[in-house]
Amino acid sequence: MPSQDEYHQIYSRDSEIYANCIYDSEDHTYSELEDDYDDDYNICFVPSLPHKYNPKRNIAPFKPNFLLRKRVETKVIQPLLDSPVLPELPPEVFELICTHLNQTTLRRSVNRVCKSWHEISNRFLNRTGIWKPVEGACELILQQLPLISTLELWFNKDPEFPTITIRIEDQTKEWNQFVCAITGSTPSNGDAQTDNTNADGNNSHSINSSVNAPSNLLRTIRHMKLQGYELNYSDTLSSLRGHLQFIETLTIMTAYRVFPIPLFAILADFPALKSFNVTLPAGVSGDVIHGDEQDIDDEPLPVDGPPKMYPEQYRLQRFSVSGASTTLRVLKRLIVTCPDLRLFNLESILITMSNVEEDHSEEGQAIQEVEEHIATQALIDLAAKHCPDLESYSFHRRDHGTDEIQLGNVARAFPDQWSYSMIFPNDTFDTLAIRDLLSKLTVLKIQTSRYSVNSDVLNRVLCLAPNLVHLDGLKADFSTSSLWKPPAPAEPKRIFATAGDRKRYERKEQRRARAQHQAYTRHGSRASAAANDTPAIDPSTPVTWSFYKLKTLKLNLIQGDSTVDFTDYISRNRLFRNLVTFNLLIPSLEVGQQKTFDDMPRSRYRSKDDPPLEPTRFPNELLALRGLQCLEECILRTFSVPGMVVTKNFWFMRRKIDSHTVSFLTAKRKRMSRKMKRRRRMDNKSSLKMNTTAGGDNLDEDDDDEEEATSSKSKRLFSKAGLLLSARKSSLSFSNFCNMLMHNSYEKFKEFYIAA
Amino acid sequence: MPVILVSSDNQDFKVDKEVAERSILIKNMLEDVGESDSPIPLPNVTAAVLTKVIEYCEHHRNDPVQVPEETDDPRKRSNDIEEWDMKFMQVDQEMLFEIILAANYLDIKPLLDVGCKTVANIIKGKTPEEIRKAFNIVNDFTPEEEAQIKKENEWAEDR
Repeated sequence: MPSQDEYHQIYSRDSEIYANCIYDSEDHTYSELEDDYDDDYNICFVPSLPHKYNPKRNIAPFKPNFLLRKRVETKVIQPLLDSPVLPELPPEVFELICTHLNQTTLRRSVNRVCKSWHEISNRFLNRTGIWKPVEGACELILQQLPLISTLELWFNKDPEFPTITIRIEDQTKEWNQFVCAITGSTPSNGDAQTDNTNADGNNSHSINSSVNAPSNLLRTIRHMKLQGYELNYSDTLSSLRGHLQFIETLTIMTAYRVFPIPLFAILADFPALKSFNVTLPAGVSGDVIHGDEQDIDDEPLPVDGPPKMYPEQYRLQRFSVSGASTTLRVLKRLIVTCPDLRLFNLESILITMSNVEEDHSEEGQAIQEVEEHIATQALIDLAAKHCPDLESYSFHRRDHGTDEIQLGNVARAFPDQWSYSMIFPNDTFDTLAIRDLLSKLTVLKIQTSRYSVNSDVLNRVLCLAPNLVHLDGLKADFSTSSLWKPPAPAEPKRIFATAGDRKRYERKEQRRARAQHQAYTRHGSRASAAANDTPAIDPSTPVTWSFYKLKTLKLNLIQGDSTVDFTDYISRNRLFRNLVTFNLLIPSLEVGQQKTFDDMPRSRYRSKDDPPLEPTRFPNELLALRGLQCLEECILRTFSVPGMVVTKNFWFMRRKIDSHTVSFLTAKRKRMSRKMKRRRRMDNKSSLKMNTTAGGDNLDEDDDDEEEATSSKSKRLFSKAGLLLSARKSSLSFSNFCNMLMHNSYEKFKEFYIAA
Repeated sequence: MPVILVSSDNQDFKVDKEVAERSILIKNMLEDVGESDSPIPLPNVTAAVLTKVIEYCEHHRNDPVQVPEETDDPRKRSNDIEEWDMKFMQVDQEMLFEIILAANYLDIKPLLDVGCKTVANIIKGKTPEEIRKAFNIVNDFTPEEEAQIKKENEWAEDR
C-alpha cells in the first residue's frame, strides 16, 4: 500500500497534468509567453477535455497502479526506434531533403543539429548582405561576405531611411572604398585618399586590412541586386569588372532614374549570368542598349529580315524586363546570342516596331499596324528558331493589350509553354477562342491596363484555367462583383392563416400569370420574352474558379470591394486547398476592435455624463482562410485597418497537421513551480487589464529575458505562421508590428493606426 | 515477361518487367544483359525493403516517366505528396530510411522524392534538439560553435 505522501504525489501530479492540458487549450496567451527553445518539458497542443477536471466528481475510490500509470506524453514526436542506430543518409540524399525545406527550417533547425548537417544546409541558406553608401556599411559587409549569397547594392539611398537622399560625393567615397576592398587595389582618386587621411584610426585600419584581402571576394555571391534612386552602371559596377564571374542573377530596381543599361557589356562582365531582371516603376525611364559599338549603328532593320549574326554566345537563361525602353535590334541580338534562353519576358516595353514614319491618317495607321504585326511575329519566329529551350515567351508593349491572335501565335510557336502573361485592354477579349490554351496553363501573370477596370473578362479567363499552379495578379484590378454567386434560394412555402387568405393569393397569382400570357401573345415573339430572362449559360463553360492545384496566388482587390466576399467565395467553392503562398492587396482589413480613447480629439466634445463608448467590434474577415491547410506564407497589404489588430486575430493560421504530428506554435516552457505559475498568471491578468486599452498583448516588461523571449516569439510567430501584415503607406512588417504591440508602444501603434 | 530479383537475404521476387523497369538501375541492367532469365541480385536491399519498393512500383506502374518540374521555381514544396504515397510512407523511421536508400541505389527518382519529402515534413517545425532526438543524432558542436552559428543566423534572420 502506498503511503500518504505517495498518494499526495500522485494527486498533485495528476492535477498538474490536467491543469496544463486545459490551460494549454484555453489560455493561449499564457502558453505563448513561455515560448522558448531550451526546455525539458514539452507541452504542445492536446485535445481539450470534454469538461474541466473536478476532483469532487470522482466518486469511485482512487486505485493507484504504479505499473500502468505512465507519464502522459502530451507532445507527439516521431517515436524513437527500437534499434537506436539509424542508417546514415548519404550527403546527396540529404541535399535533396534540404531542397524541400524552407529557409526558416533550414536556418533555425537543420543548421544547428550537427556539423555535417550544418555544412550541407549552409549551401541551401540564402543570406543577404546590404551595401549602402553610409559610413561603416563597407566594413560590415566585408565581415559578412563569406556567408552571403545575395548582395544588395543601394545607390543614393539608405533602405532604413528611405526619405533621405545621400549626396553623390558621399556615395562616390563609400563606393570607392568598397571597390578597393574587393579588388585589392589602392584608392586612385582624390576622394578616397582624403578619406583615408581624414578617417579616424580604427576605420582606416580596418579598410587597409581589407585591402589586402584576396581579389575574388565575391566568389560566394550568386545573386546581386542593384537598388536605390539612381543607377549609372558605367560609373559604379563596371569598376568591379573581373570580380563578377560567379554571379548568376542580376536584378536592377530603381525608383527614380536609370542611365542607359548596357546589356551586352553587362553580359560580358558577368560571364556566369543566368538571370537578368530589370524592373522600373511607371514614370521612370531607362533604356536597354547594346553597350558597345553596335549602338552607333542605328540603321533601321527591315522588320522581318534576317537578323545580324554575332560571334559571341552568352549563358543567359532568364531575361525579364519591365517598364524600360529598347529597340528591336537589341532584342534580336539577345535572342541570337543566348541559345540557352528559357524565359523571355518583356512587359510595358517602349519599343518601335515599324520603320514607317508616323502617319495619323487611317491608311498610314493601318500600314503601321500591319508592319508591327509582322515584326512581332518575326520576333516570335526568331525566338522559336534560336532558343530551343524557351519555355515562357511574353512580349507586351506599353499601352498595348494582349490579343487572342498574338496568344495563338505564341502557343503555336512554343507548344510546351507553361507560362503566359496577359494584359487586358478591353472587354472584347474572346476568352473562348483561347480556351484550349488556357486549360493547359500552369503559370499565369495577369494585369489590367490603365484604361480598363472591368474585371469580368479576367474572371472568365480564370474560370477557364483550372490547371494553374501560380497566379500573379497583383497588377490586375480585380473586383469581387464579377465572381459568380449562386442564385437566391427559391421562395419558401407560404403559410396562410385562413383559407380566405390562400384563395386571395391564388387569385392574385392567376391574374399575374394571365397578364404575362397576354403580354407575351401581344408581342408575338418568343425571343423577345426570352430576352428578358437571364442569358442562358453554356453548361460546358465553367462559371466558377476551380484552382485545386494552385500554390501561389497574388491578387489585388479594387477599392470598395469587401474581403469577406472573396474569402466566402474561396470557402464556398473549396478553393486553394494546396495554396502555399497567398499575397492579397485588399482595400481594408476588418479584424479586432476599434475604440475611441480619451486623448483622441473626438472624445473632447463628449460630456462627462455620457456613457462610455463601446468599442466597435469587427468579425475576423480572414477566418474563412482557416481551411487553407497548406498555407505557409500569407502577405496581406491593406490601405486601412479600422480595428486594432492583435496577434490573437491570426491564431487560426498557426497550425501544422500531418500524419505524425499535430502542433501549433512550438510551445516550449520551462518547468515552473505551482507557486510561480500562480504568480505569473496573476501578473498576466493585471497586465491584460492594463493593455486592453492600448490594444496590445499582455507581457511583463520588467524582465530582460522576457523581452528577448518576446522578440524571438514574434519572429517565430512570423516564421511559423509565415504571416506578414503591412500597410502600404507605413510598410510596417508584421514581425515589427508584433514587437510593437507586445512592448506596449502605444504611441507607435497610434501612429500606425493613423497612417494606415 | 517476369524478372526475378534477389534480395540481400537471398529471397526471390518475381515481378513484371515493366514494374522492375521503374528502377533505372534494373532497366539499364536488363538492357545490358538482353533477353535472359537469370535473376538480378540486389545486394544492398533486404527482402522487407524490396517488398515495399515493389509495392510502390506496382502501384505506379502506369505513371508516365517523370517530367521536369512544371515551373522553374527553385522552392520545391514538400506538401504535395499524393494520398496513397503518404499512406505508403507511414512506416517507422528505420524502414523509411531504408526505402530512401533503396530508392537511391535502385535509382527510382519518384520514390526517392517522396521519401525525401516525408523526411522533410518530419523535420519541419522541430527544434534542433527534437531533430536530434528523432533521428538519434549526436550534437557534436562545442558551445562556442553553437553560439557562433546562432550569431551567424541572427543577422540574416532580420532581413
